[in-house]
Amino acid sequence: MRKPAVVVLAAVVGLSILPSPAGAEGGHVNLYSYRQPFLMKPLLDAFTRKTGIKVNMVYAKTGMLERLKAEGRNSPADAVLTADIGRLTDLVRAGLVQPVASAVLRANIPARYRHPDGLWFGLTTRARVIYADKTRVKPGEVSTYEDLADPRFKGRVCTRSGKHAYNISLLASFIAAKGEKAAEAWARALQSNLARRPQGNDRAQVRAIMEGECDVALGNSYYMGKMATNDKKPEQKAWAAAVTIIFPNQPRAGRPGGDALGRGTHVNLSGGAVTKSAKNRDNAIRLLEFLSGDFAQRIYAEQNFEYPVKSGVPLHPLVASWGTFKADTVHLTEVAKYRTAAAKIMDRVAFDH
Amino acid sequence: MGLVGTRFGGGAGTFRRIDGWTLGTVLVALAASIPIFAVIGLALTPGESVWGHLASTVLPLYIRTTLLLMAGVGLGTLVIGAGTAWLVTMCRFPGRRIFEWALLLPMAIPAYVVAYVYTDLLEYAGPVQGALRASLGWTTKGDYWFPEIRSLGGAIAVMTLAFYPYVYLLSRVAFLEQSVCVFEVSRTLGHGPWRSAFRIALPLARPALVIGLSLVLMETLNDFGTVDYFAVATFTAGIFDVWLNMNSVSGAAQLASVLLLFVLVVVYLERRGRRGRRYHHTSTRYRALPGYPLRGGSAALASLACLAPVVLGFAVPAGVLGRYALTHYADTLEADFLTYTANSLGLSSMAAVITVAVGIFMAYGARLRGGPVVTAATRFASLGYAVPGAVLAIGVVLPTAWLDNTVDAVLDSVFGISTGLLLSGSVFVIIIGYVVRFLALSFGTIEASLSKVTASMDGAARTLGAGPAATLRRVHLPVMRGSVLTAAILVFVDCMKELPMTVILRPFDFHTLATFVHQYASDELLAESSLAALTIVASGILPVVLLSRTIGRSRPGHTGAPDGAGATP
Amino acid sequence: MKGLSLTGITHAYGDRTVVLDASLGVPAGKMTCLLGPSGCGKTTLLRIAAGLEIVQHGRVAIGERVLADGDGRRHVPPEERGIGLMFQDHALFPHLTVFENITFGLSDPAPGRLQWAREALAGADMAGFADAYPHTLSGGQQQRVALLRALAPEPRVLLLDEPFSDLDVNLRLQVREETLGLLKETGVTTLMVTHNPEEAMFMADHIAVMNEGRIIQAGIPMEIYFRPMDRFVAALFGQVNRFAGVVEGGRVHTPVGGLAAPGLADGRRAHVLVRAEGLRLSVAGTNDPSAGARTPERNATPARVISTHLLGRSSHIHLGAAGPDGAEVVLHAHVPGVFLPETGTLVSVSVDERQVFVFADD
Repeated sequence: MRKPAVVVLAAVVGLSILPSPAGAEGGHVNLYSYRQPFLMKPLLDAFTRKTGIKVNMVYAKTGMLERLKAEGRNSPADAVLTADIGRLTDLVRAGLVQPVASAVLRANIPARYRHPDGLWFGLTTRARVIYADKTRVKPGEVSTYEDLADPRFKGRVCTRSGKHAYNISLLASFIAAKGEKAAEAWARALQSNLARRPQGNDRAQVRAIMEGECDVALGNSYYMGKMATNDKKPEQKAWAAAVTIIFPNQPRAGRPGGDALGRGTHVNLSGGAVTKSAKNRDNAIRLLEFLSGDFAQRIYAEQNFEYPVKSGVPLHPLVASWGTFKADTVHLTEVAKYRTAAAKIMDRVAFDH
Repeated sequence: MGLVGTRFGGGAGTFRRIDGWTLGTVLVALAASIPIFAVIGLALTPGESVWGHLASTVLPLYIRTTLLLMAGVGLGTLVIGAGTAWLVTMCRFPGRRIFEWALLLPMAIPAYVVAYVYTDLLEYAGPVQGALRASLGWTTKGDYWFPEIRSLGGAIAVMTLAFYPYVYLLSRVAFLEQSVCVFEVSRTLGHGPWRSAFRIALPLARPALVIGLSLVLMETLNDFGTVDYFAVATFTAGIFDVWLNMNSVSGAAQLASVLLLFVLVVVYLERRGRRGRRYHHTSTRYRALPGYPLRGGSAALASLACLAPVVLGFAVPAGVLGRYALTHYADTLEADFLTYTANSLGLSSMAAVITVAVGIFMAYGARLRGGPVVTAATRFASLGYAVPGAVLAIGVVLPTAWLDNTVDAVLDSVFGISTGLLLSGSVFVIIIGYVVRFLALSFGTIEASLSKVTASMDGAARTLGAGPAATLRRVHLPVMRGSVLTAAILVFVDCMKELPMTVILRPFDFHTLATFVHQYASDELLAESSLAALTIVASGILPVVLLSRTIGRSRPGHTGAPDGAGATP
Repeated sequence: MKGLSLTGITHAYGDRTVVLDASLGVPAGKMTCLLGPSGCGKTTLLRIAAGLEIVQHGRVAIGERVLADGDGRRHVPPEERGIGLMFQDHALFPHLTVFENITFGLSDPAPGRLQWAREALAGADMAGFADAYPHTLSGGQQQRVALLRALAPEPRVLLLDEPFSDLDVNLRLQVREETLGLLKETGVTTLMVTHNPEEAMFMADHIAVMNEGRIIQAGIPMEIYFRPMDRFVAALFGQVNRFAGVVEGGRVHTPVGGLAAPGLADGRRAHVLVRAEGLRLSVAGTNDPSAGARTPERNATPARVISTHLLGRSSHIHLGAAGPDGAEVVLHAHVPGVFLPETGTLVSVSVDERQVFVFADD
């Protein structure tokens, strides 16, 4: 009874102490990612092809921050990619990233989409738009986030969980623009307009519109592109065909750009940073530079339907067809400041329940 | 052998030396408790307090929802699990032999997979409602009422289907072990079979039922995938919410600690209520179980009662997954499906072996020595089951990373060698996590079976020339064998399904089947990962069937044929 | 063949002393019974001898070899003592067959003992059960297997803990005889614990009486029965009649007459026990005495029959006699054979002085 156990134990210990595959030709970079692998795969493969640097990626939605903190200076992570601004600012606040001075990054990425000291870099932006049913919602009936809280939309609104990062950021931008009181009032009114309890992801909201459960929904812009071109799941094309996409809070006559109502559509951004403990710092910087370069930015645009941060990169035709829009100009670090307050508001109005 | 005292069953002697077994048991138990301490420690770190905000907003809702969920799932699993176990063990009706093992099948399917499948089927846009609308001419939501699957009720139903096998398993073992004589005494005292079942068999099976129920309730408390998907606001959902959305990992740890406290209180209350009563019977004679034949209507009802959980809890989800797999297998195969399978199987096997070994060691030490210290230590070590997987993962990462960093720093300063991360970046840390989490399963199962070895059996073996080690080998282990296998199987299947902890702890480019399915399912792309999900299910089926056969053989003299074969003369 | 000796054993659990300065010797090849009521400490003493408890004070030895010495100076573990122990609940291993159980304590190879085991099973009429599992056996069969298991490794000393207690009466008698036969045949030194006096009388070469942790008296059965050292031992063997009185002129006056009180000075208070079987009865005024009764004597006491109970081969009679202050005293008489006078019958009661025991009452 003893011997086999000892053997197994030895094997376990032995196997586990084997160092992670290192030192491939051209080096490697270890990436902790909040963005899903099947989104990142084409980009990372392209990077490897171009530079010979192998990318090892770990994806998780939770626990990354704690793992990085615990691993400390021995953490094998070189770079972190996030899907929204909140994570980036959390990393900064936890002291887990290091400043990067890169002319390439500075050139590729506009100042408002990167940290002033180079602690993080935005790579794509995505607008939080309103999807509206083509037939049941009259053109112009909804044009601002505030409209969604209007009583005329009672029982007609769908959204994902109020606590999801995308909605939190939206609410945080609301606080930044109009203060906490107004934001809470809006959230409360919106909650009473919901057609069903918040559930599912953004795509599911559009599906709900098509099925007739509701008439309008909040969602990120790129989903529209993904649904409209989904050959594997043609039913999603039907969903996309049933709705129009509306960029809220655009300035127009009677609603100047300086007014809160014309402040522009809330954008979130996905981005990356180099960890403080990076052993392959240079490779990590090269990765970020690659992701901010023309080639990668075009893939982001074409394959993920996102808005590249680098100017001059052509959009996907479908995305382009939605037109240009004014994005909310507040710096996203400002927005990030209010995220905790936004979460508390969501709790106070019992948004999800 | 280092074993000085041979006091079986306590009694204070004049010797208070710390002997090997006590020390070893307590040390092992403490080691297994470290992640729990880490979580509690994390809870105590100063930071912005979330309690005020929580208490005034969502905390009452969390508590109420959680209690309702636990009550619903507890009741449902008790009725289904104990009821079918009773039918299958004590009665005869068509299909009984098949149901014996088939009722365990839902254990092979993770609860969140069941949730996804039924949501797909029963939601507004799903085939069931679609068919209803098409055939009955309704067009919009307002035209009819259909139960909302994504609700507390839906969560209760899904979790009941997914978790009742735990109660079924333990009830069946308990019923098999009961002496028929006790049951027959009850009959002669005027109670019919049903009343005897309720007043004698069920109460006698109480320890087993309680263990089964507590496993179910802990699984319910910890579940995140289902409640998240159904948007049901439980305490655990609150933990993740505080952690991710309010960015307070210490707040999350605090909530987790409260959960732990709650579990401790419930366990304590139950034990107090049980004090003074004995549950083992004094007869060592077994006759084969009678097998009351059911006729006509009752037989049909019984068959139906057993068929329903199997169909709803296994056949439907497996079928739906199968259908998806047929159309989407290419997606799964594209990814390194075989590697993931190997990873899952390897991790689960190693974790099962280690967990069982640790469980044996602790159960044995607790039995040999007893005493309040050892008992407290082993009970505390079993609490890993009550901590949500993700929080426990953090509890594992913290000490292992600290250890690694310390070793590295020391070696660096003394020898100039930087060892980097030894444990934390490796699969070893996942195994540690699994062991801590599932220790309760193995310890509880093995402890229960060790109690079947009486003190006089030990004494007999000793006076017949077998020292402590030989007694362990020749008497204890053979008697424990059934439960060791059971424990190994339970741990293996649970590891294959385990998700939140694996996701956090794994090294680079390391996937298990579960994390792979998670990646897709969490974005509602379950179909693309259906083949992997099916593999998880398939890997659980064989062990589950084995489990059923082991239990059936555990009763001495019970050959499965309820017609007196093998009975005493 | 060596004998077992326990010397000065004292044992306590916590602050509860269960054995106090007990000394006991089992002569080689003989059977000694440790007789006493439940809770008197006899099982503890047995466990100490077997090594299942660590000796706190005292010594355990087989022949010259010291197995255990108090205060931990020496403790030979049970598996090395060569002492066999048969448990009250038999404690057969459920996962082994009968034959495997019996041969459990044998070291390989032991062809001689294996042969012995087979023969012993056959001798106990259980040859067909060698491959059966314990749970299929009846109580008597389990007892036999347990005994054979303890004997198989040829222990130097055999300890039996109430081995017949869970057998029904008739089976018990039969099994007792067989066991005694087997033990005599093997000639092993045996210490048996029992609470049944008749069993002790039947089986033992020596009896040691134990009460409240102490060994009160040890000796051959005849001595224990006819010369008990205190009232406890005297009362062990069945019902007794108890009287109190004061010694006058070397005798104590009791409802059954004046009884000799040797060794007690006049004026001492005395406690008198008369065993129920020490009362002889004859119906007054007839020549119809109970069996064994002598013809009525001068000091036969009159008594009145209250009730009678036929026990098969003996009869138990409750009598009423005049007590010291005139109130009626109930007497118990136990006579051989059938003697069932009607209620209310007057009988003459005379006393067999051998069954009278007088102790100082202080």
